[in-house]
This record gives sequence, C-alpha cells and structure tokens, in this order.
Amino acid sequence: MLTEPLTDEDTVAIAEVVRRFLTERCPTERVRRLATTDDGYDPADFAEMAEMGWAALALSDEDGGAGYGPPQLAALFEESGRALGSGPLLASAGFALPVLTACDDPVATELVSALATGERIATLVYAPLTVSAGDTLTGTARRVLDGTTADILVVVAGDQVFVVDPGGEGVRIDRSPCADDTRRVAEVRFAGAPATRLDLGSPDRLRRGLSAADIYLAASLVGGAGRALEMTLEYLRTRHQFGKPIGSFQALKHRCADAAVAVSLARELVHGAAALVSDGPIDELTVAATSALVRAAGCAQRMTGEAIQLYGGIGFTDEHDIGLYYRRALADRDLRGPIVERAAELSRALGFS
Amino acid sequence: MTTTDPVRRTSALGHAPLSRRVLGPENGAVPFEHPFRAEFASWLDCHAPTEPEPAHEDERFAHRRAWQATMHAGGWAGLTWPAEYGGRGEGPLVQLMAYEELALHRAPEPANTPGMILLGPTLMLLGTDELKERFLPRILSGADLYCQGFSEPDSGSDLASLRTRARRDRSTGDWAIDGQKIWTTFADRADYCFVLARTDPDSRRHRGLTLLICPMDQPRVSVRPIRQISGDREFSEVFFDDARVPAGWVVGEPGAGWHAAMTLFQFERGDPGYTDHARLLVELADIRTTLAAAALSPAAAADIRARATSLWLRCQELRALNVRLAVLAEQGRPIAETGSVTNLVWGELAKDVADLNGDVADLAGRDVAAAIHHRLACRAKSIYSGTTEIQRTIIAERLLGLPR
Repeated sequence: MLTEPLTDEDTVAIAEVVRRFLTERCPTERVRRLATTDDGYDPADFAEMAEMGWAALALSDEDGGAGYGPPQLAALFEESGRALGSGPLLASAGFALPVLTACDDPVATELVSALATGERIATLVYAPLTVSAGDTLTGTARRVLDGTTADILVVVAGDQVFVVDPGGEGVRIDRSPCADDTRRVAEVRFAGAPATRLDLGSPDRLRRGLSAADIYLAASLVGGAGRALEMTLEYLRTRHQFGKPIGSFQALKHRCADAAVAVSLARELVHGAAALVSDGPIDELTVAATSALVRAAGCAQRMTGEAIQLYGGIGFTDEHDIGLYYRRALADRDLRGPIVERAAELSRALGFS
Repeated sequence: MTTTDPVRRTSALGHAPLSRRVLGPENGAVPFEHPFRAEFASWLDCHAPTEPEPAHEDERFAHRRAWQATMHAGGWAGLTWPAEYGGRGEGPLVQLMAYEELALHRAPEPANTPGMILLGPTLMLLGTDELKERFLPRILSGADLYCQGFSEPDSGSDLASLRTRARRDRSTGDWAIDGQKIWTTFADRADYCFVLARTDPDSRRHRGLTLLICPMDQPRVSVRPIRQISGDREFSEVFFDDARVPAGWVVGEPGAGWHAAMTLFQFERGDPGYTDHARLLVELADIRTTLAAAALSPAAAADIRARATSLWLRCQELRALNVRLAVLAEQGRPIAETGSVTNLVWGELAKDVADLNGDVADLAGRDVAAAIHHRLACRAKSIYSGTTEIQRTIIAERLLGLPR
C-alpha cells in the first residue's frame, strides 16, 4: 500500500487482532472447503466472532457496543476482505445492523441486540417493492447477500423499513448463481408477504445507515484488492524468467504502479467516508459513501484482474488463490445495487446530468 | 447551492467565490469552518482579481506578477516560510487550505513558483547566511524571478547524465559555466537560474555536481524561447558560454549538487500547489455549469456525464492524497517518494479534465478557443517535473519494492 490511512492506534490494533484471527482460523484452504457446503461457512466461527464483539463493534454503548465506531468497523471489514472472509458477518453486522440502529422502534432495539450477540442473523433487502395496505410486500429483490442463511430480512422500500420472516408466507428465497463460490447470494421474491413496519427515527438516519452499509462493502473490496496487490508483488519479486525476477521488467512495473495507486486511493476514500458516518453532514456522507463504493468496486475488479494477468498461467488456475480475489470482486461489486446504477446516482447527486 | 448554504460566502464587492462544497465532502483535517480559511477568504473577497486571466501570454504573466505583488503587500506571500525569513510560519495543512481558497476565488496562478517553492526553501536548508540575506527577501517580494536549469537536450529523465560544466577561476574563485539547458520554464523572464552543473570533470553520474545561482542578465547567457503546441513560449533553451557566477553563490557544498537537487525535488514533489486538486474541481464545476445550459444529444450527454463523474471521483482521490501527505508533513513525518504518486495522479488527471473541458466547450459552442489552448497546454503536465513513466518506475521500485 502506498499510503497508510489508518493512523489512530485503536483502529490499527483492531485490524491486527482481526487479521491474526482470520489468518489462523480461516486460511484460504478452509474458506475453499467451506465453500462446498450448503451455507458456505462454519457457524462456530461466526459465533466466536460475535463473542469477540465483532458484530457489535460500531454500536454505541447504550446499544451494547464496545464504544468504537464506523471507522473501526470499516477496518474490520477491510481485514475480512483481505482474508476472503465468508459467512454472514457482512450481511448481518455490515448491512442490516446499521439500518436497524437507524430505527426508533422496540422491535428494532430487540433485533439489534440479537444481531450484536450473533444469536440471530439478518440480511438487508433493498429493492423497489410494492407496499400494500396492512403492510404486505410484493416484488423481487436480486443479489441479496446471505439471503438463504439469514433468519431475519430487514427490508428497505423507499424510506420505509420492515422486518420480514424469511420462512413466512408469501416469501420465496432461491440461491442465485454467483461468480464467487465462497459467497451466498439469493433472489428474494415477495408475493403479498406480511411485514412488520419499523418506526424510523428520521429519513436522514436511514440514509446514514445505508451509507454505512456502502462503506463496509467498499472496505471489504479494498481489503481484497490490497491483498491481491501484495500477493502479486511477492510473485513478481520471486518468479524468474530470462535470468531475472519478472518484477524487474518495466511493462510489469508500470502496470503494478497504476494498480497500486488505484487501490491506495480508493482506500483513502473508504476511510475518509467512514469518518463521516457518525456525524458528517448527511448529503456529504451520502456522496462520500457512494464515491468510496464506486471507486472501491472499480479498483478491486481492476487490481484482481491485473493480478491474474501478472501471474500469467498460474493466475487462471483454480488451484491458485489469486483467482479467488477476482471472483470475490465480481461477486461483491453489485451487492449494494448494480455499480453502474450507483455511479449514475452519484452523477445525478453531483449535478452532471 | 442555496443562499442558506453555511459555507458559501458573499463578498462586499459582490464577487462571489465558489462554494467550498465544490471541493467535495468535508475532510476533517482541513475543515471548511477553519479560522484560517475565513480570514484568507475575506481578504481574497476584496483583493482577488475578478476579471479572467488575459489570453495573451505576456499580459497573462504580467497579471500573475501583479497578483504576486498584491499577495505580498497583503502579507500572504511565503505562507509556509518561517517568520525569520518574512513568512507566516504556517504548516502544510494551512498551505493546502490556502490553495483551495485561491482556487475557489479563481485567483491567478503564482508567477514565481521556482523561487518561492523550490529555491527559497532549499536555500533555507542549505544556503549560507550571505545567500539567504541576499536572495530570500527578493524571492518573497517577487522582485526577482527564477528559473530551474536542470534538464539538458541529452539529459531529460536521466538527469545525472548531464554535461553542463562549471569551472572555478583560480584567482577570484568565481565560477564559469559552459553548456546548454532546455525546457527551462520562464527563462526569458527570469533574473536568476539555478543551474546544476558538473564541477569535477573526472566525476561520473551523481558525484561532482554543484548547484549554482547564475545571473541571467549577462551577455554570456542566451535564451531561446521554445514555441509549444499551445502557441505559448513558456519554456526556453538556455545557452551558457563562459557565464559567470560569483564565488559564493553555491547552494550547499561544491560537489554536493545532487544532494541539493534532491532537496529541491522534495519541495517540488511535496507541495500540493504543483498537484492542485482544487483548480481541477473548479474546472469541473465550470464544466457542469456549461453542461446545464447546453442542449446535448442523449449520446453525447451520456458520455460526458460518465466522464465528468469519473474525473470528479479521481479529483476526490487526489484531494484525499494531498490532504494525507499534508497531515504527514504536519507531523514531521517523511513523505519521500509518495510525491511521485501525487505527481502521477495529477498529471494524468489534469490532461483528462482539459480534454473533457475541450469536448464540452466544443459541443456547447462556448469558449472554444480558450478550451483548445488549455487542452494543448495541458499535454505538458504529465511530462514536466518528471514524466509519469518515471513516476511509475519510482513507485514500483521505491514504494512497491520491485527489483531494479
């Protein structure tokens, strides 16, 4: 990495703890093995992460949190992205929890503590659904992360938030094809599904929660890109051809320099946006979060794609881990809405259209 | 922007600067409500020229020089220079905010960056007391202008291969320079040139070089301006034919010119004025205004919109990086080769913004001549002060640790 955005000691310390745990407990061989199971993860791992307070990291003291905030949780998800972390931590703690904490509702409060302790698993459904009288939902949501794993669906339709039982009537959830075997992505179809409406504190708080979700996804993307960069540099230093390390060839150096700059700068945007989540002006936060996600998604796809090219033949084998990072970048890119739509949304917010 | 926007200011003269929101989301290290911004902006409200920069090169330079004099008279010259040298002793974060405020006021660019940003700070570190007393006040006031004599026809990116020589007069100790420099910005306007020359004829590469301050006003120095594709003559060739330099006018030790040059480069690569995100964001804000008034076809609009958004994002990244480096510099931590990253990002970005500006001006039929000039002038930005390819190599070898 060309710059080091993490300067505060707490954040650095948290990132180190998370890295150590994931390196020891979830090396890629294990992530690959778990990918062949139905759920794609080991619930015991998830329980242990929850016990260590990972899911609750950004919660306020009154919500049972550890007194840290979004910048620390972003650092955690960056580490998780580096390690190709699987399981529902991102869906539950990264996507659903920030939306629930934006609500002013006893049901939400109860769910927040259940998610924080890992006792329950939620995911976020964000789609243009039809809300009928009596709060029933109709419509389809695609790319729902861990939709087949979650036992609670937190649904955002416009500026309304609902909770839906995934096993309830009028709900159908199917696993979708995904570029990354270690991820579980689903299509969720509602046909008059009964939903529990949650009282929102204010529409701005919901926007804050959704921006936080964007930032955690972006953090995970730059984490994966950063790891792919490190692995690639290591390979270029050690692989020899024509009697020299291939990293000494300028064509490869320049590709690395460009990719490394892209990753480092996107990472700056991610950590800059994370600093705005708690009390930045809402319009600026929204723009900063969307910007971070658009650039993180772009740099991740580019870096991991370059990595395969720079590795040469071994890069496109299933056996080598580098391809996993490309697959993860593809799978994650559109999890908070197709990234092309997010870029168009940003363009409108900036007044370019 | 509405009139209730808390960061928008209106001036007593009715010359409204752009809102700070043009810069993007607020960055806590350089807050919009910082007292320095308020003080400087209110001075700029009254003193920044409201008319656009003249199109003719000589008039434009005179305009910039007049602006530098105004800044000096207002006490704003040498913001980061220590008080003992007549500056305000501010740190890198204030410097960065100053560049942003200047851009939002569309203030002219400075006329004497080689003196103010490069030679001045280098003299403070390496110069003798005599040199500091002689030169620093006149750099600060803008009385003297400087140019940088580094590149040569056969020594561009490979600076250490330079062939300009200087030898010492045994009796007087004065130096005599023979050789040729090229791409020397403002050489035809400068009073002095800081020349990197080989003073030990038996030396090779980085050894045996000396950095000398050479007066330009002598018959043994001749300047031939180079006409660029933009039509400007910003750069020149400079010929030294036994040109005289007084004995003590050496920056650093004789023979230690490479160290002096590298010290100077650090200022060049560490100053966000050379990689200014704010002027690019102002350019994008102007493009947005033009777009809003233009009737583009759907195909053109889609292309322009996507490029504008992507360029705005790249400007935000450059801003984050400039702020990051200013924070590190403020803490006294080394920036080292990270300046190559800002240089690379800015050089490519400035060209792309100018290209978008040119396309939009053309499609909208507004300010086309200025846009053509700007687009052509910007091609130099990824070349001067080290091509972006040199920067990529530096990044790969020194920051990413790839083998040479």
